[in-house]
Amino acid sequence: MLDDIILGQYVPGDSFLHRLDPRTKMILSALLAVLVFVVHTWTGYALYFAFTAALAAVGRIPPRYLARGMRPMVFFGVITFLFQLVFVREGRAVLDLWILTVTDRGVVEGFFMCFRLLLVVLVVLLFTLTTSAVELAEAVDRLLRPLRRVGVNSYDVGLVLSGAIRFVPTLLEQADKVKKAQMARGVVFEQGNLIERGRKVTAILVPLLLNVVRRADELGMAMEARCYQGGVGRTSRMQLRTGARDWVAAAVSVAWGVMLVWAGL
Amino acid sequence: MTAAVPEPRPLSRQVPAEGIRLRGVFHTYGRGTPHEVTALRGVDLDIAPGQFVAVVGHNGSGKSTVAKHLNVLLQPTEGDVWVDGLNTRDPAARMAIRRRVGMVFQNPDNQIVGITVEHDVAFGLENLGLPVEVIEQRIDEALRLLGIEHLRHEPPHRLSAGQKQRLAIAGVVAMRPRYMVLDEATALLDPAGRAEVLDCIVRLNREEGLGVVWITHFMEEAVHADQVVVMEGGQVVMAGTPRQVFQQAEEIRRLRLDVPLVTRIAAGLRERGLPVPADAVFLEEVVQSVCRSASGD
Ligand SMILES: Nc1ncnc2c1ncn2[C@@H]1O[C@H](COP(=O)(O)OP(=O)(O)OP(=O)(O)O)[C@@H](O)[C@H]1O
Ligand SMILES: [Mg+2]
Repeated sequence: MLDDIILGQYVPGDSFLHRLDPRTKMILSALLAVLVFVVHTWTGYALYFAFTAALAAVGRIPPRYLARGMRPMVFFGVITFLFQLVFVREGRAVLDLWILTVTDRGVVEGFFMCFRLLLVVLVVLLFTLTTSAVELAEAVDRLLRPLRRVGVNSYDVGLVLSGAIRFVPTLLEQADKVKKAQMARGVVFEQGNLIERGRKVTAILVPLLLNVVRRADELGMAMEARCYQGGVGRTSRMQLRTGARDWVAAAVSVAWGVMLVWAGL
Repeated sequence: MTAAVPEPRPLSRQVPAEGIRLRGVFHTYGRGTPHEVTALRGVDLDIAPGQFVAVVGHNGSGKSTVAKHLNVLLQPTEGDVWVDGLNTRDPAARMAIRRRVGMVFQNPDNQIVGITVEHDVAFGLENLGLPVEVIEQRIDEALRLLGIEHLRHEPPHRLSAGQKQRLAIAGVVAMRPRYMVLDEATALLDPAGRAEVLDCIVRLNREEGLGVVWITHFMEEAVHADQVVVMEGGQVVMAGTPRQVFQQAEEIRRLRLDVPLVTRIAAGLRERGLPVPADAVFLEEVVQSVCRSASGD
């Protein structure tokens, strides 16, 4: 399960997507994510999925890799689906089980909510897999720069993001160590009911969390020792450039989104 | 210890032009709380430019606390610390001091910020606000000095512990400090990694004239130093050349520390009547004096 968390694990490459200005990618991904909540028909979702699949192809991301990244989300997808089944009351009843009534509307809503969730994650994955953490940090810094006037340190926000990404593998490694230590003491993770399993997971999370706090403290000190002072008077090695490529990407995405909305899909 | 209130006061005048100087430094953690710990009790220390100083001492003797005073991560509760004539109490001098004194900690994982080797080396340089061309040049230079050019584009988690620690050092070396403080920088490494890192530092000291403060639990590592400083209970209890310090084996043992293996062997040989110098710290000199006495008989 831990190995499946590929969110934020950049796949180096030089595809069209990789070479887009990270700011463009970020804004377009955000628009795409919003669009998913506007779509409300089967055709709409099919087209949306086709578009993301095309993006994956353009970004030369192996479908297998994407599928692996999506795997941990399937659980949440199923929960979302069941939730809609139980709570949507409108429509014709298709199934009567004791106090539970499942309606046809519920089934459809269940599928749609599930699609929305999975598609949003897919868009986020496409973004993070083609954008290095450095680019991400730089993009966030630039995009949030106007907020400096109201006291938000955009550089810090970017740094926190890239730092989080930098530490994902380290923390996974740590979690694995803790898990093995628990296993050495005879804890079997694949056994027991939900509560027991929950307790076992907590036994991993608590030491992990303490570790994160200590790490953050030391990291802060190491950064300060390297003359970090919150991006003041700092130069940036990375130069972001918007080019024709970005305009093409923006035009295609926007046109496609407008079309979906306009067609009422 | 009732320490004087460290309120704003005139910065002391007797300022040395060069080197690091600590005078009567006290430090109390958590002052005014029930968890008050006085970690330093009047530390005096001089570090000349280009000098290699090894600091040894039992756990909790205050080594790390001293280290953090050298680049303004901590302020003395009492006393003064000067770096090339700049007082660490002076807020205006803080960045200048941090540029001069680089710091490497024990756990490389907790000091690497960058997503790749080169981005991490760039971090400090970007903070200094250097022009991009200079940054690129300094990255090349630092990676070369530490022998990790071939890892340039690797993410940190793919490096071995020794490589990670060399990266951490490269990130500091690139900023071209005059002094470098390494707080048990080899503690988490295996013997090969430890030698790898120590060799780099010794070379930077000899060839680039980098001043080094090397904090360690391994006495063997202290024999390379120009000066060995022994700490105990928040004070400097012994200081001198490795020969001067390790000769006092009794005193060292009383401080719950070891003398280097070579010194112990030399002492044993002397007890059995061999003409081995009492202050030997290098294996070679022991071997030579033993051979000489063997062939002389
Ligand atoms: N952040 C802190 N808050 C409170 N007390 C501290 C803090 N850091 C260190 N101390 C205490 O100060 C004393 C000196 O600690 P210091 O870390 O300087 O020792 P050290 O010589 O580096 O030890 P070690 O060999 O274990 O690294 C110890 O008693 C320690 O418990
Ligand atoms: Mg220490």
